[in-house]
Amino acid sequence: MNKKKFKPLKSDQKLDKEQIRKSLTYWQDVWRRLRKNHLAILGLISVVIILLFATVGPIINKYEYNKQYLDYKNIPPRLEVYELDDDLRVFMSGMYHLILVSEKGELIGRFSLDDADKDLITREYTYRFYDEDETELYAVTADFSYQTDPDKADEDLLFSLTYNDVETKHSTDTVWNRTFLLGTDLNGRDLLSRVMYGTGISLIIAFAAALINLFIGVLYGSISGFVGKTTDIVMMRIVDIINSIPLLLYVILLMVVLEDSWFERNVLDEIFGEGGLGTIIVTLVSVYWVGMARLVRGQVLGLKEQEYVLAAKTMGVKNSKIIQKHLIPNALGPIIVTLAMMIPTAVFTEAFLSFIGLGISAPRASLGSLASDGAKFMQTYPYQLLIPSLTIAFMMLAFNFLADGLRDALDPRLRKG
Amino acid sequence: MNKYFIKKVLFSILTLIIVITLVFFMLRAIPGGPFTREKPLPAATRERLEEAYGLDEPIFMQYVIYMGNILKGDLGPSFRNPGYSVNELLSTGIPKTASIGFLAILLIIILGIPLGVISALKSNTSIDYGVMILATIGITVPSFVIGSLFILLAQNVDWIPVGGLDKPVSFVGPVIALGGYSLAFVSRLTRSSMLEVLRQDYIRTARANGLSESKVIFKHALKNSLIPVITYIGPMVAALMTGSFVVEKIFVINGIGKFFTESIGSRDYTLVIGVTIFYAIFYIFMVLLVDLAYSLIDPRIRLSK
Repeated sequence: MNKKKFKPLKSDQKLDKEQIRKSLTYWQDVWRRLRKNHLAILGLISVVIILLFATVGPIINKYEYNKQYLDYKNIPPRLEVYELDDDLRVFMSGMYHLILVSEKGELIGRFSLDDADKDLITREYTYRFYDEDETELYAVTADFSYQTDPDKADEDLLFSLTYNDVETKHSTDTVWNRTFLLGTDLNGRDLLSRVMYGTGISLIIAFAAALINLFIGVLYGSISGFVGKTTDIVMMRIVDIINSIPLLLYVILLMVVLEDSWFERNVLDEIFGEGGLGTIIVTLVSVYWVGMARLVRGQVLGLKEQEYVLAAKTMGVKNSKIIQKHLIPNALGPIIVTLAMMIPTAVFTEAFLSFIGLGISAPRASLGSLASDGAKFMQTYPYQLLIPSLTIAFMMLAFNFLADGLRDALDPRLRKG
Repeated sequence: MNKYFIKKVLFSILTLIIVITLVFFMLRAIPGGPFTREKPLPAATRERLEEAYGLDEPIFMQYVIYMGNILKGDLGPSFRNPGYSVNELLSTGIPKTASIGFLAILLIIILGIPLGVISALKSNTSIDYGVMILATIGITVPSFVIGSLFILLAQNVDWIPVGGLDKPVSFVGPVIALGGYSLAFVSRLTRSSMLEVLRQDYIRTARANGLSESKVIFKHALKNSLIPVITYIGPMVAALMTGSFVVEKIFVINGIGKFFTESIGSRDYTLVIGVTIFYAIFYIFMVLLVDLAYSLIDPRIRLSK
């Protein structure tokens, strides 16, 4: 070997096989893994957006969720505008209200229609628009005879509009609704603010249900798992029985029992306000804690055999302290994952209950009740069903991605493909 | 093994009795009865009605009588559908609900499991991504939205009826709405558990022994990866066979789901309990069946019991 080919190292060039790495705590490690998961980060960002939408949204939005604008019922987010004159642009709503629209798509006002202006024989209705001084600005005649007159039937029109003797048969332009961005509902309420409010209510239900569920489930499960023996058998039989009652059946029965009961009127409505919010939370909690209790029990059963628990016991640490300090923190990973999965499930169940008419009652709204309202008129106003439904789907997607990511990050052994 | 199952069956019967008892007393706790109307019935009529249906007995006696009748297989008369017994109503509703449920289950097993397997075998390809995107949509969109959208579509197409179950085509909507979520869930579950199994040592051993790929997948991998899927499918079958209330409401089907929601509203005690019993029996039976299927598939479970 030629020694000249080697050079001695300088003193500051340390060749160290043990690279110095920062030691990470459990949570730093979790965050590091979570950050690498693009879908989970997407989910996290979406969850933040949803939270902002439900909390900050109503502050920015100038309409209230329960204010009715009776002139503007069932106005869609996209308007088919008839340009009758240079500065006269109108929109005919699904309820045959004629509305004056600006060039940008702002709603200016509704034309009035007197009974005297309705010609029931020729089916020509004259809509008039007045300014503040009650002077007539425009008079537009709508011809509805296209549906009834056999001569005009093949034109396949609902109506035509005539202004200054010029008849306009087809809409000339479509613009986005600038006044009510997502349109209005049956009672002329701004759909955007209702969706914001509904998202908030759905989130409150989900979080409240998840947190109470966490509390009961962890308490029940850890006692059952830790004490063991007869206590465990009895407690788990109770869980088994609750588990074998079909969930939905139980939820519906409970909703009906609680409805209008003393408990609802004097306890739940005091805490959560009227409209059945508290009832839904109680119902969801009373069903879902079972899963959490089982999970925690399983975890505790495994963990309590560990040496450090034995060590704590020999040192005379109280049982409650062992549960608090040793068992629960170590079982935290799966608990958090179940909690994160619980939130979309609760949103889903609430939406379902509202849809069959057992949920939040008006004027309060949740995403489920909005979708349920929208479904009644989905043929004529599909946007009223689609908007809340898409919001539910987006929410489910966001929470599912986040929960999946959390599961992988908290416990890599559970990683699913 | 036998002892284990006898214990399971006995416990199931106990559960059933508890469920019936619970529902019986819960219903009586609700304010209002089957003969409460907006316009009150004359007191005499009401008394006669209550006497005829045995509602004038003390509640505990009612319970004993009712339980006795159930043992004979008689679920009693419906309070709000005069002239019909609960048995008759159930026998008209169950075939409709069950046929939709059966088709949905068929769809899930025929389509869901193979999709999951394919996407696990082709993991991280465009096929895998496509299936998983579809599955994610299936899980995130509620059944009432799928159902409503389907009806919206059906209105613009002549050959799909909007409601009812008169033609074979009219099953398409309810089956998709009912099975959509589970279909998506099953394919996701199959995929993940298949991937898990494919990483195991015994699969590598099987391949190293020179087994054909199809033998590795079908004989070794698939069988083991179906265990979590079966756990899910058991209760799912019960849930689907008894029908989703929402789907029956949207598609105007007179199945038992619709009976159930209506009977709760009108306090038709016997009908509510009838549906509940049917549902609970089915559910508990399916859970038992899952236990059995487990021990057939997985010898480890068979030995430990």
